[in-house]
Amino acid sequence: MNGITYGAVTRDILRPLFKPSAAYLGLLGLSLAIMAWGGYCWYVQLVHGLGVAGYQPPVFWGVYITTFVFWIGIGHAGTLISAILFLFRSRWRTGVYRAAEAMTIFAVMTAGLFPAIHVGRAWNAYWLFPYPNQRELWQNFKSPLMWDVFAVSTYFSVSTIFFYIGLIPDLAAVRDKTSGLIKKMYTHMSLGWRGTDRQWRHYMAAYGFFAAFATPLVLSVHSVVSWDFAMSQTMGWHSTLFPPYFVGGAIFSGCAMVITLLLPLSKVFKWDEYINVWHFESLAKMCLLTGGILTYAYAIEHYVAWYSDNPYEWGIFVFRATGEDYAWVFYMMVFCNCIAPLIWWVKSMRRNLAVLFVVSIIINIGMWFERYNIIASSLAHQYDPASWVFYAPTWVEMGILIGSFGWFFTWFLLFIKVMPSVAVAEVKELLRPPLKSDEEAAA
Amino acid sequence: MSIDRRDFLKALGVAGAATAAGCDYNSPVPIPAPLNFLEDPYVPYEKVLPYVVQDEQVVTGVRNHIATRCDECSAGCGVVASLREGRVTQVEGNAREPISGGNICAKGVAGIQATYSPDRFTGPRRAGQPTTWDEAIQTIGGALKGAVGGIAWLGRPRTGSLGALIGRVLGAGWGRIAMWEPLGPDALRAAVRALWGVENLPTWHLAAAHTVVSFGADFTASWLSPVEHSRGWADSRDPAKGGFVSRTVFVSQRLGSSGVLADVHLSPQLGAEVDVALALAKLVATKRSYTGPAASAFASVDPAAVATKSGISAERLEELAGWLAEHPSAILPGSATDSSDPTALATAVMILNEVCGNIGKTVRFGDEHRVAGFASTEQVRLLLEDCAAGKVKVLFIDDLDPVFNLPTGIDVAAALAKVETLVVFANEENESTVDGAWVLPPGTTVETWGDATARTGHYVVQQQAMRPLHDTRALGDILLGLAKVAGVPTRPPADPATELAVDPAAAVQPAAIMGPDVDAPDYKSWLVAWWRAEVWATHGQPGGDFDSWWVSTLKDGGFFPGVAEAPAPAIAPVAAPTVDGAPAGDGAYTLMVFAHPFLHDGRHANKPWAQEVPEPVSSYAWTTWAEIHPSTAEKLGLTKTDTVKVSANGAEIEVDWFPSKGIRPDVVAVVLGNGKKKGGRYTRYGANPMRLLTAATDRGGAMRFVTTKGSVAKTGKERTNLPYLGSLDQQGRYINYVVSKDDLGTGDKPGSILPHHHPPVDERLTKAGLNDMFPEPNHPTYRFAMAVDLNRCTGCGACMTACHSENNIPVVGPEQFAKSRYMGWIRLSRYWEGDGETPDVRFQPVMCQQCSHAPCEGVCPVLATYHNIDGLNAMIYNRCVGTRYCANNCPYTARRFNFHTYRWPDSFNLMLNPEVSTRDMGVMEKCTFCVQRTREIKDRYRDQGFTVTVPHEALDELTACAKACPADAMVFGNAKVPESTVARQFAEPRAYAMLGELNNKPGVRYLARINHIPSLAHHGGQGEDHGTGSHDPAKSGGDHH
Repeated sequence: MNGITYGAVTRDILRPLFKPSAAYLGLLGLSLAIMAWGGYCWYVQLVHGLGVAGYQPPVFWGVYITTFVFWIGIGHAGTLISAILFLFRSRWRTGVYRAAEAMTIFAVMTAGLFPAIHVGRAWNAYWLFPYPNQRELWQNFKSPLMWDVFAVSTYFSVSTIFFYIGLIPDLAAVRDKTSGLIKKMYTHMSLGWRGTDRQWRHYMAAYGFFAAFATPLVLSVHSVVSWDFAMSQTMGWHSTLFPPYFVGGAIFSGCAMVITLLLPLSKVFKWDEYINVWHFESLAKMCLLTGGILTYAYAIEHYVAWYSDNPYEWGIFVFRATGEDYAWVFYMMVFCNCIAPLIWWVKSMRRNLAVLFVVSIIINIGMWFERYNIIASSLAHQYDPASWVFYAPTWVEMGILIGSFGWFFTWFLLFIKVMPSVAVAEVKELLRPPLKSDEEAAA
Repeated sequence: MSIDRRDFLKALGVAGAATAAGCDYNSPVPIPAPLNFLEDPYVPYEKVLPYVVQDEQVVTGVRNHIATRCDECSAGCGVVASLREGRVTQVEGNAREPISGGNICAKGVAGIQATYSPDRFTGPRRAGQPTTWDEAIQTIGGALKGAVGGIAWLGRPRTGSLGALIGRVLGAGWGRIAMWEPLGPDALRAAVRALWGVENLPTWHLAAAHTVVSFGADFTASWLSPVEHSRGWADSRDPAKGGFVSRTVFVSQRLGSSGVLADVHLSPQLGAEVDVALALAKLVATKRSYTGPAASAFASVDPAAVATKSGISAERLEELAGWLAEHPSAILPGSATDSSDPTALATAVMILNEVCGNIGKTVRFGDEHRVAGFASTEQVRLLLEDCAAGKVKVLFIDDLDPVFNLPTGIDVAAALAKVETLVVFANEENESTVDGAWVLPPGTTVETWGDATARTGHYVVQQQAMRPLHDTRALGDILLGLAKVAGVPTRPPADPATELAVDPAAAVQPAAIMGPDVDAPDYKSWLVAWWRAEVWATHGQPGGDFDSWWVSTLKDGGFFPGVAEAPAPAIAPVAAPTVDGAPAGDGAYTLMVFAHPFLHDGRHANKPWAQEVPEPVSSYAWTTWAEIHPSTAEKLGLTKTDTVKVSANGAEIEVDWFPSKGIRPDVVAVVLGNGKKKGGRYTRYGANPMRLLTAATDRGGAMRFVTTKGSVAKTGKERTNLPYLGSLDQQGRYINYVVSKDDLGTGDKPGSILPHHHPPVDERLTKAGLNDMFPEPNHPTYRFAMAVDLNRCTGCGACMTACHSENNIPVVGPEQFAKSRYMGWIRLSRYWEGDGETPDVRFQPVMCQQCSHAPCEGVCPVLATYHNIDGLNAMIYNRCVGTRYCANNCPYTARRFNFHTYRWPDSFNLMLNPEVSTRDMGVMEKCTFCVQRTREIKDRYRDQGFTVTVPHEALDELTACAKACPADAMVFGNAKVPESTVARQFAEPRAYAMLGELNNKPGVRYLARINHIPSLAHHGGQGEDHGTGSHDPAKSGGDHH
């Protein structure tokens, strides 16, 4: 990034914030349309009941919980990159962390829809929150679903605050480039940031604090989500392996999603100086590490099931791998998550943008199928063979799944239009400061 | 603002008036007509009105019980109708009536749906148009007058005062009467008549039989007296009852509802079953040195030749003959549908009973089934021929559907079209309510008076239990009205024998035409007069005066003096029955049909419970299916999602198929009951296999159903009806145990006779109290529990149906059923463990196990399910959000979820049990151990004082399922009381907790089924091909359909 001035950084990064192009509006319209389709599907379900989904008892959880876990998983990379890598002083995070954090928040927002979509009586979903009421009803704090409510809502609020703190200097930069009503809005949003030394000192302390605060949450939230499964008695779920396995998988999918999102972003906005192959290679390395963890988890899960000599547990794992109903899901998962990323061990491949993009999408698909494999197959073949069934989703479930992408991308597109997608202030920290001597030399 | 007292009262008055004005359940909205199992945005409009004058017997909120009669089959059980606020909401067994013994079968439970059916005729109809009763009686009565000699009656078997009235009105020189049961025991009657010269049927008392041999009769489901047989069979298997465990043998080409209970299955070549019976008779005769008159029948039989012909080895015949010779046995002939020559088979089987010495012991005359005077199928065929020839001017059809129930070889519709005045007594449309007919709805059993004497020494009275829902008139009242208009002589003929019977060759009369004056003002007076004359008077005027005897008779549901032990009649010397005709046709497979255990011949097809409760063997509902042997299916290239086309005699039907290991590979059997062309809204499914059969009768006048060879092919269409149960077998898992008879009582501690796949619990952990994370919940007074004796269970489905009735379980319809969304709280699991000839079919009713450490309770985020003080996993529907985590976490998969709001079409909503709330969409539900009943009985006893707890005897049959169970396999109770039946069952060495290794501490224990396979040690008790008892994961690959 030699030869770039502070002014150029601000100009480059804030460029997308102004007048939207037709392509942008088209994309936004498409996202809204997909979201509306998902909304219609939900409407159908609310009116007619959950029967419009493909549930076949005892498969009572299906695509909705799969998609919930998928989005929660996506929501891992942002805070990991912004908080943990901040604490480790990893320099490559600077270019990508803003967009990754936004992705986190929108992914958690998307995930947050799914419990409400999933429950039988969505209009009563607020009963999951402990709130004082005259009926003296209270929640069951033994239930992993309650832990989930707290884990996800805590993660969401801390991530959002952390995200916002990171944004303050940049919002001030936008304020300084705008005028009129918009300037007023950014003025309020930047909370009176003037960039004084005193402000920077407080700011950095707060940022460091929240980074430290968010770090354990990155690990906890998906551990808790995994307990929804691991705490139950259902075979194929009931495993102490689940928390690290799920956290590994979440980071894996999250990093892949960052690649998927930022690669086109950096190309479209010509941000090669700020987000380039160095960042993507680093993300790919993260994926290689977590993908390895995941592959190990898959293997050890099967090994433990075999070693336990528990016919129900072993039955599930054999069924996943060989049963005619879900074997294709299992091999889809193995291919996408264990085999496809191996190509990144070759340096030229993990530096090839096309390969990076394609493999990152494959990983995302694979991670969805991983959750589907866990949820559907375990419930379809429970203890008593008399109740074995085959579950397949219906158009309503798939419509809501697709609609959730519309919801996510709508938020993401709005984000890149109103907020700097790369951290302006932090990028500037990486630059060589403009010195008096330089100016003189130039003159 | 300040409010003084006046203002306050004014405001209160206005508010009160406004509230009163809106005091309806719902705003008035139209009720839509179309069939819709799912949500229906409209709710019926009902007003809440108080009684103006309250009936003294009616206390709001308190049930009345009225003893009455079940008319779903001809067995003659009594039932108790249970009323709330003037509506019968349920029928249960009548414990004072000896045939049912207080139990009831699935058909009996579902009988109540006939009353509340939304498809009932609301009044009399003439040629499809509503008419008045006056017009009907006058017109038909007038027609009767001009049709003497051309009047005929075709109806269900009627006995008692109604049978007498029919005979009195229509038999008295007027016409001919054919009372007929479509799948009835014509063949057995012919055989008994030929052998003993007796017109009635013996009864089977299975409890004393060490070997029960059936030549195909589904004696626990549809043959003669299923409830009685179920109990007898269960008693014979129960070592606690007779000190022995009976062996069940089936000699049949297929295994049906009862066939799957067999310990030994001998599958003879078609037509060879008669020879097998005779060969067995010969072998037993040799062993028992029998030289009676029946010996002439099998003198020339060569057992070795029979072994060759039938394909059953001589050793097996010898072995079976050994069992029969050694101990008392009971041998049952086939049902109507089980042999190509049913009369020959029945004759051979009765000879075998004679040789085994069963007559008078397990097969008794005396309390016989009264069938004298009833018509055989041949007589019905002749009657219909006369109709077709125009000889019958007035034909009455009473509660039968001959168009549907007879094969196409008899063109019933054309015959009916020739009748000038056709009168059909039917509450609902069926194929025989043809266009030009008079349709007179006679009301249902709970709406009308009636009676039956299905057995000698057994009089059941049918009390009217509620006001008729529609403008109906009881059959007896219609007949009395017709008699008046037509001018039937008021007094009985002086000499019935000479005055009656226009055509003695074809006419069939009830055994005795008797009874009081037809001038009776109404049928009830006729009935009472008949009982006074025929029951009270002939039984020595019990009770002194008639009125008090009559009241006690009504309370008991009838009069059951029983019969003195009658000596066995002498058998006539007979020749060996010859077998007529082999199945003909150009197909590769012999076609058989069989009665559906719930729909029977189709008469119950419009009852949604009978349709939706999964048929126990196949677990199919809402469809017709063909049983096909797996090897045949493989040859035909059938997959589990295929449908098949069965064709014969130029007709074809498309049906689903079920892989039955119990059927011969050269036979295909199709279930009866569905596929009505005309009928109620629930009958529009499946196909009618009668369309494929020709109408041949054998020499005994019985229908020969097994006459046709047909072909079977894959249609290529994907099936929409899927079975309810997943895997056919238990995949080597330990869900449903069996135990060898030899190992009974050898366990050194309870439960130890059953194998465990799981490592035993670490004793050190147990000692340290570390097995459980949480202490067991405290159950201070009650621990409600249930024991299910799988050794007694016949897999009849009565528990499931009774549960529907008690707990307002909705009917979801075929589309939802195909998605496994059946809502019944009991799943009758069926595992077909045995391969080849020896079936090892295991039934297991699985309901909520009410665990003490329930996996469902911990995971509910809103505490909608919790553990209560009585040991129940209580469920708060209103609190449920519908996360469905509880259901995921239930290893028994006992929970059901309301995926939609399932509605009861009018007037089924009147049948709902007011003590149980109905559930809306999005809510989880499950078995509650009939919490409304436990609460009710606890309250009743607590009213006697705070310290009074319910005595354990009062709980034994409290739940609807345990009360219904015809085999008495289910026992409910308080496990805290060691003397209670349930606690004693828990302590049995055969008792085990389902998936006990999970340590959920369930409140249900199963008692393992006892089999005759020599010893557990050799095969792990898991059937022949699951030898090691270890898991066989290779099989777990999607082996469901």
